[in-house]
Amino acid sequence: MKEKLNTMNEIEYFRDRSLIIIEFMLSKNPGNPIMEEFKSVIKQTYDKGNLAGLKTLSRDMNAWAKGLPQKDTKELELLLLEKFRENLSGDKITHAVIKQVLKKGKIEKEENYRIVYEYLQDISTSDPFYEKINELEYLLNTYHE
Amino acid sequence: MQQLTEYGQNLSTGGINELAIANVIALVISELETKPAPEAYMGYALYDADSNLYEQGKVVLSKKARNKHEELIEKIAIKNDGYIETFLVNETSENVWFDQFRIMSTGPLIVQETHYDPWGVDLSGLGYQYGGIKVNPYLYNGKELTSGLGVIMYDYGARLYIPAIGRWFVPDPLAEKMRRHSPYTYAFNNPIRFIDPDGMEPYSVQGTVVIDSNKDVEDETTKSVVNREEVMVDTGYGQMVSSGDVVGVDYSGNFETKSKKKSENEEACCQNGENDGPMAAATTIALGAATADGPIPIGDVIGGVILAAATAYDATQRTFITYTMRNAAGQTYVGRTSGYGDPNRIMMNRASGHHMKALGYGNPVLDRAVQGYQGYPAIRGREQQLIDFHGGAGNIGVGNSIRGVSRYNPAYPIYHGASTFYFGSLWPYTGF
Repeated sequence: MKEKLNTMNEIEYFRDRSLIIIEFMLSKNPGNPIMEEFKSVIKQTYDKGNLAGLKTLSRDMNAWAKGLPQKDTKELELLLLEKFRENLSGDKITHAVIKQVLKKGKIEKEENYRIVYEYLQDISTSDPFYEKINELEYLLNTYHE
Repeated sequence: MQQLTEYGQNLSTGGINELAIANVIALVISELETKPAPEAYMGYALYDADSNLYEQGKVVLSKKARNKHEELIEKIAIKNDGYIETFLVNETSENVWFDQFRIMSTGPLIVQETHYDPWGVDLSGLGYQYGGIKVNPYLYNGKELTSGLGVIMYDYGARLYIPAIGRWFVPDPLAEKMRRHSPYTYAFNNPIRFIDPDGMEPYSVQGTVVIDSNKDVEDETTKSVVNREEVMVDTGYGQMVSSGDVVGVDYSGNFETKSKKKSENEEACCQNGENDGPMAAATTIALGAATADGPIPIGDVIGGVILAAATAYDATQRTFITYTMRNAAGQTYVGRTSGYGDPNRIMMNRASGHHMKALGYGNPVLDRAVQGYQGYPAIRGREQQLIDFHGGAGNIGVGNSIRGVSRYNPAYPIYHGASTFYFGSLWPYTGF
């Protein structure tokens, strides 16, 4: 029961976080069809109880939001800070995975490879693991082997 | 010494005299104090890389060392690469003990180190800033960096320069002297050959450029002459279009014309027939006469072909790009990245230290670039379509171990649709 409750909390967290981001984007681009599609997909994924799908969407939304114009990013971060006490650099899943692979010194799962790979695609100097770029690149390589 | 001898004679003839003894002691002390220190010293000689002596010196022992110790310290500024030779010398018969001899190399304290590309973009990650001190704002070309408007610019005096886009913030005050160049271009789009010390006009660093008001300035290195009024663009494959019809160009040299754009918009897979909404407004790059009245540069015409090197980008917005890398075995790796400024620079920044380089892949080649709110999904979709186009992740001809977008990603259809809308269909949807 407790586990189910945790899952519910988790799934709602990812839905809400994703929705906040997409609704913010929509407020800047009213009626944008791509963003409307995203909003719809987030809701559908939540309705299906697809936690893994929502995690993926949340991660994608986070990466997308980091690419917004700088003034919009700051505005959005204030919203996230108010609601979740975190900013766009504080993507919990990504950070947890990166900490884990750095600690283990290897990437074991394809999903983790994807997370590390995508993290490096959009890394900026303000990211907490910026100093670990070389190490993460090496881990991607060793996964190929 | 003579005084001491006389006192000694007096003492031996006159018996014990306390006053005389005290005087003797005082004289002995005085004599010792005036006695010079032994001729001993710590010496050094500096040689350059060719073993030529260019400096030497020594620190001589003083009387402070008598019955005590003295620190001999010499701080030497090394001016050339080369060698140092050291000596500990005692030229007297007196005992002198040297101890704890050491040579310490103390490099200069670097408080700030900044690396740039030729356009003045800070190559972040290579530089260094010593904490707790005021940052030096005089950087690229010695010009003062300002970021008051949220955009990094250099103050050249007459104008502000934006390194991220390689363009001036305002038009050239001497624009009429260089009519065939955009008044916003920096150093004739060639910062390696030209300099612009004050923002007024560029000068060649390899020689004098004669500016004739009746003649366009021609960069002899690239033979590029840009004429914004009349350009017929050879798009390759025997096609010629008027520059007025060109609304965009991708980084593979494919031209986007008004008529083509219209046709593609009508065929867009995931839109509702809307051509003029926010999506359509996000055309990546604008070129040509129709858009020449803003800080939008014009591509260089070289032999009749426009190279898409000069593009206008909003420095405050992230640009998303896809690129490919190939290895000697002919395998292709598809990647994407993002950043601020020129797409090629973003790509090359990513390339340095790229994990695929260690696996024998060469320099990346830019595929597509897009900026703005819709850039992210479009590029995600493009990345996957490119991987599929080359055979799919895991295929022998492809370097990617995994897909760009998971088949299970609920947003995959959107990514695919956005890419098709922006760049045309390269490969069908391959998700679940």
